[in-house]
Amino acid sequence: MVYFYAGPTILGFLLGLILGSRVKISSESKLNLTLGSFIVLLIAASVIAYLEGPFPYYTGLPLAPGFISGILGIIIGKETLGRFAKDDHIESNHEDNI
Amino acid sequence: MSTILKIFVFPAALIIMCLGIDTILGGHITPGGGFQGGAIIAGGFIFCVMVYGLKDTPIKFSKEFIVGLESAGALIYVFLGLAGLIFSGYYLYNLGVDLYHIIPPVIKNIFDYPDPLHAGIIPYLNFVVGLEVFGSLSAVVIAFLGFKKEVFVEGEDEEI
Repeated sequence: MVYFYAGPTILGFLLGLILGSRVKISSESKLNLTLGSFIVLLIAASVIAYLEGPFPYYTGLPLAPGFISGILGIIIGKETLGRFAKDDHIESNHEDNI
Repeated sequence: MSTILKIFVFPAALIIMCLGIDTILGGHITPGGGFQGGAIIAGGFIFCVMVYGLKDTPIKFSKEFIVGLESAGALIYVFLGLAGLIFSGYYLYNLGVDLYHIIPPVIKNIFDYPDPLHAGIIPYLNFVVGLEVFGSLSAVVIAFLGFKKEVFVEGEDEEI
């Protein structure tokens, strides 16, 4: 029987969402993330989560719950909030530090 | 940087960040926790910045984001401590576990962490410490990469 633990799932998704909301690929970049890229990323993350295994006392889970919810949060955060990410760290740091 | 690195590093950085998330969430059971997980997440970001450069990196941490993240992490930590002080009289009292049986069950249920161990506020503290650490380490790296080296050449300041 597979159990569901809300704590690591929700917190992992939240952290992933925060990180994914900062992922934005500029139009000049040669990087191109398609739906296939996300599927490959999800499969790779699932394999790593399976090999890593759940935490001790987390019985009934084959995968690391935080790892899976984290990658899901990153992908969903990138697709929903990533377009609003600002890349002003270069200018603001120069103004403050020089 | 080489094309192989530019293809490989971005998905690898995302996987490293997931490992950091998992380390943060297992801090109350396994070795690790907020600081270590935050450092791993910052490591993923640094990996990206070193290969793509500060300008072209696909993971963009703006100044407002980092400031907000660190402020939120520190404030939530203080609020969790103050909640313990208010409800039990002890700063950072673990309200979700309530070892001394001095708080109402309603408050205990609010601060309970829903996993097999019911570790109380410890995972939440790990979470906010992780936010704080990965924000500050990323800020340090961005600041170092953003500096321009100034060299004194024959009586004139010249920027390289």
